[in-house]
Amino acid sequence: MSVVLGMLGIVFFGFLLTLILVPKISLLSRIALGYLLGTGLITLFMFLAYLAGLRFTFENTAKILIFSLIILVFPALFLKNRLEIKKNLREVTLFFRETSSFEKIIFGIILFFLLSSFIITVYYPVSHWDALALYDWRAKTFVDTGGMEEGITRGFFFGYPLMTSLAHTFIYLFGGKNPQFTYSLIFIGFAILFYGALREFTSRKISLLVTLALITIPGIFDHSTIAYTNLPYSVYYVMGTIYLYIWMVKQKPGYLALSVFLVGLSSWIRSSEPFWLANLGVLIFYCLWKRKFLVPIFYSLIFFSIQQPWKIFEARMFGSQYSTIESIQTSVSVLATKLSIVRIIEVLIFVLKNAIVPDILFWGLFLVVVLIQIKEIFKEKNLWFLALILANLLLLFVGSYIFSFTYPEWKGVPGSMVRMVMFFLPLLLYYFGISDVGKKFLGE
Amino acid sequence: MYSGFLQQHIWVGLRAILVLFVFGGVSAKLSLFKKVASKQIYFHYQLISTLNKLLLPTLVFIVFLLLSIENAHHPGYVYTRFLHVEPKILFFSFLVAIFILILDFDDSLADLLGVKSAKRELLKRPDYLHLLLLTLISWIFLGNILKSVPSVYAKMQFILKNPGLTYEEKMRSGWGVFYDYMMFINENTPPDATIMHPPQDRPWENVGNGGLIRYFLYPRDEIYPFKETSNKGNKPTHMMIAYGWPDFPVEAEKIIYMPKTATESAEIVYGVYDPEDPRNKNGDLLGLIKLKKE
Repeated sequence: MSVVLGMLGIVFFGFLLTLILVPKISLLSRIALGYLLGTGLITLFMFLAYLAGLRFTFENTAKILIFSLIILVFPALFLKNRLEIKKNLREVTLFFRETSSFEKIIFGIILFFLLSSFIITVYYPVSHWDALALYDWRAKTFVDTGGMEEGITRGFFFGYPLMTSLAHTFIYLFGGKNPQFTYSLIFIGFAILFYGALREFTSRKISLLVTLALITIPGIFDHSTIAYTNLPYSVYYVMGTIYLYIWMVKQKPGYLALSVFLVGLSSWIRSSEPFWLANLGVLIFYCLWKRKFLVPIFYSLIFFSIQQPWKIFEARMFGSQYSTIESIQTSVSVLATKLSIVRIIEVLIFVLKNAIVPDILFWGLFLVVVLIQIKEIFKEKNLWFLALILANLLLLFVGSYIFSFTYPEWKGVPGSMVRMVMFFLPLLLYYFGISDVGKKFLGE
Repeated sequence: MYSGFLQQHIWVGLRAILVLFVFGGVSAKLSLFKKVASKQIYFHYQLISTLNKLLLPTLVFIVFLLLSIENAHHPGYVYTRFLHVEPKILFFSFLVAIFILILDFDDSLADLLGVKSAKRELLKRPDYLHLLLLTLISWIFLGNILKSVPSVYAKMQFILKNPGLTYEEKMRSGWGVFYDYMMFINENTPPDATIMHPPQDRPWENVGNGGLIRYFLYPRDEIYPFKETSNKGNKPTHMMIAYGWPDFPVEAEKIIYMPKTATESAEIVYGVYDPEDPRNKNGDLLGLIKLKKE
């Protein structure tokens, strides 16, 4: 029972935050965002509180949750009109009244997959290799000892930030036995948010079809049922990227804030991936073009306040080479001093073989959409999302090139590369979904 | 490696045939669009299209059935039990059938998707890019569904068959003997024990993996072979016996052999562990050595 209350507390915290951040978004999306933001931020607060001397106990965690809720409740009360409950209920009624049989079938299939994922995670315990050896292991020691000392001294503790481990800890401290269901909740939230983001630009039919294509991707569905960090990272990063795009094209207030929180929290799940730099780069370029000079500063401030605590903690334990500045310096020096055509070709082949070829159909779809709408590529709507995808692709290549110099056995980790680039598939599908090609394809 | 029936007998692989088929189909459809196709091509096209529509439901049923059976058991199950039929090959036939259906877009898919004929942009301006797009989308959908559904089906089937399994039973169903062995060590060691495990090479991928075994043995400490102390600074108190390791004599207080079945009790032997002892020569042997105190 208390685990349900704890989870509701997390969702409510995130929900209140969305009331403050975003004036207009559907109720369902608010709940989904509430879960994502709530989980990310409450676990981050647990970590910060630990650094300040509060150990991982039920009482302390409950205090952190209640305190966080109290801080947000009062400002959110003034913004309760943003809930638009009547409008949201009307939209739900309309959804079921106006949908065609075909759309209902698609909706039913989506529901089937989401529910299946939930049932599987409730039934199966955490049992996959990495989840046991690292993520759930850390949670187990946190709950047992109330601190990190045991985990750190036993080794194989660092490398990945604590978000998912602390989410497990939260569940255990609140009396839960199996934290794996949190992953299917992230997956369900992803489906809701992805559909909502598609609806910003396209019809219900296309949004449903593209969402179905997303949730049935075998890699994504499988990861929704296991306690790995790849799917949570992808969900936070993809939604952060999509919200950045919506802000760029529609100038909807709040979406930029959502974007920076989600991208920031993605770095609280996996910190070695440098893709946030791609988003920041495109944002800086966009803001220089549109003369919005303060936006990148605001974005960076929030992003680094979420990303830095873990990086600083890691750097303190292992030395400054783990700090963000040192990592950027190393990368720049590799690029400046170690230019090799042979290595560029080697890395290019490696990236193509492990990141593109396994998902060749999705990349093919992306390429065909780009070719079909090539004449309209410089329309704002088409341009910025394309820029975000290409910037991420470029970063994947440059990152792999640098990695090939800093890690001599770089060719020995193709499996990691396949999992790391999981986030590209939702981006490619979204690009197809919002394109005019998609509309023409279904005769709309 | 067996190159496949087609490759061996007609020297052309399945992939090559599929590529030729796709190009042939697209070309035939385009010539129909451009009204340059002969009556014979039109007749053949209609014949294939009609046969395809008749056979597709049966094929869909068979493909789903075989893939589900395969997933519910193990890879190769269907091949070894059903007249050497490989489900993946049928999956390819299924994709080909869907491809023909896509080519026949105006008659089938459009109706299914509820597209009004006046809006059929694709058919008004057919070109290779749009046909490619349609093929890719269908391929993605079918690939996703055909891979995800059997995986969901297999897991749900297990859940429905075994709704009341305990945590231990579920872990055992996933990890097998390894899980039993970890539980055996827990039962036979105190919580402050430090257990030395084999190196992480074959055949000790799991039992030799310090990161993995510590999860099951917690709060017990683990130590890599031939290290003086663990990361926590503890000296070994116990040593695993697993799949032929250790292959050197060990000064033991006692040796506990893990029973093969749950009904048997563990066999305890006192004295030195000798790898040359016939009992210890068994490659599947699992057990535990309590080390002699220095």
